[in-house]
Amino acid sequence: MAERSGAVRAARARTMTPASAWGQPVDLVDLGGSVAIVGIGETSYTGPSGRTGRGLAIEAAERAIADAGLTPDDIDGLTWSAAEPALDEAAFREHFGHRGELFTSAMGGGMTGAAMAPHIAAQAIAEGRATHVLNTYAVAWATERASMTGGPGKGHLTFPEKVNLEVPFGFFPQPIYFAAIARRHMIDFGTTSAHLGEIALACRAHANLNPDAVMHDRPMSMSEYLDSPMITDPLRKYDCCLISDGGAAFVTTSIDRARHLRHPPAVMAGVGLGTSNTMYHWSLQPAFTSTPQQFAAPGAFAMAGIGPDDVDVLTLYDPFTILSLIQIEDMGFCGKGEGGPFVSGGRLRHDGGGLPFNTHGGLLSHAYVLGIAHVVELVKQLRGTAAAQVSGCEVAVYGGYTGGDAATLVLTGDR
Amino acid sequence: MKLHHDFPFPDPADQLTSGFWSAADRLELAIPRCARCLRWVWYPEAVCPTCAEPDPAWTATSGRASLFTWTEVHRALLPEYADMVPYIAAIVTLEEDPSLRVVTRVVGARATDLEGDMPMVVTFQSIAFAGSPLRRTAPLFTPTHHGLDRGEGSARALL
Repeated sequence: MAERSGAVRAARARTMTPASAWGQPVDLVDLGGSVAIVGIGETSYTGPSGRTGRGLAIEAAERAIADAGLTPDDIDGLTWSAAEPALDEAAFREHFGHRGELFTSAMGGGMTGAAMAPHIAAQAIAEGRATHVLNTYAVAWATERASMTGGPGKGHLTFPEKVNLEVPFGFFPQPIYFAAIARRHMIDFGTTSAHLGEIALACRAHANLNPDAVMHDRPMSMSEYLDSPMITDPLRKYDCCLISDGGAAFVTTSIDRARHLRHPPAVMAGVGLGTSNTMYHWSLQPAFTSTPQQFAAPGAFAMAGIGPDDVDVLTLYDPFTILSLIQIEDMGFCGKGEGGPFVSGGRLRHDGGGLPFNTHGGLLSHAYVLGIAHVVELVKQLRGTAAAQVSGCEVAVYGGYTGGDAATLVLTGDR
Repeated sequence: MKLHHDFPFPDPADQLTSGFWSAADRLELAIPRCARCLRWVWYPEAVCPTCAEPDPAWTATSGRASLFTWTEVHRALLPEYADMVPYIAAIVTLEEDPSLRVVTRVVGARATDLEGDMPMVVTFQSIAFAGSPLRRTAPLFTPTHHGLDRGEGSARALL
């Protein structure tokens, strides 16, 4: 995020819009159905491992390439995240000894980028610039936090407004931002801690079914959730995500090529992107309890030709329970303010007959690898190989988020 | 990432925001205002984003506000916050323009006494952080019914 702080000031200086227009969709070329994810790879997900983000990304990449039935020399496109460049072009070439042409983009990786990566690949493939595009994301934040060299808050300290007008008041870092949003959602809509607990419990129940999840062997009841230590009221310990080491990768190729590879294609049916004019300044966003997902989801659903009712499984970028709740609202699964009742009664469980949600365990109970594993989980769901498998899964949706932007990715079986 | 020397106090060398803190030293809650179109420019900008007039001027406000949201922080999320917990981080909206949201801390009230949109008033207090001998005067807020000032100009209770 470091490279964005100057851009934030520039973007706001250009903004001449009325206060009610707080964000907007970004036009994306309709490439729905043209590409598919054909290979996935993951590391183990752990606490402090002593490993590096680069080492983790390389391991995930090797596995994704092998899963697709390809070799590293087949890769001619590479995407990663500028904010956390674990496997950029130089690292990829150095490790794999790759000397061929490479299409590259630093707009992929995790968070919003994990949803955008298939669309970036689709554009490159449509233009004849790439055939097999590898996207990776990995962090070693559990290791780095233990040694105080990094972690999720560091990027926000590159914003002078936060450093000088928020940090001196103890308004830092992310748990505070999202506790403030949760409080306002409670004021406006009557949302309760038990509503937030439903999200934490769904993620935990799915992690309990998933041997790869960090919290696999840690069941949780509602009373345990409610009794967990208050971090920043109303967010408790179990409203907040893990801090993890781990990474994942996936390979995207054309739909025609995909049909000749090992696995059934997970087709990119639609992608949408939305932005917030106040970017990473949560305190200033006029629609305080909304996310740019409200601008992203309609475009993705339209490109895919589906509606919210067609979605069989949903994974959302979930650093905090409240962020899942408000994205569920913003994507149109229920009305604004109706998220609390909507998530209640076990409706988010993989077998609950409602909206199966974060079926791998999410950032809350699987691992905090910033959304890349959310996309990998959807591919498993469409292949029918997920640990908490949704029966008959045909439409799978990921919502990625950074704050300043959000993106929706719709994956489907090869229909 | 390199932090400025006084962190987590404000950086006195940051030109866009230092006026906020020098106003606090004068016991004023000041927000930049465009001299031409009279709009508040928040967060600070070098030029007015509406009419492009340069150098919005730091302008004192009444210090009266509404409580937009808050969170009682129980765990110090920065080592420098260790001596503060529990504390109430908050956002207030200013009387001059409800779209003006200012990050602050609530003092002089229990978290259980707070309600959304309740009236608040500024109170200037000295802030400190663990491990630093520095002090700064900061605009904090307290519920109006706690009675530091009920509408007679700016509230100035230096405690």
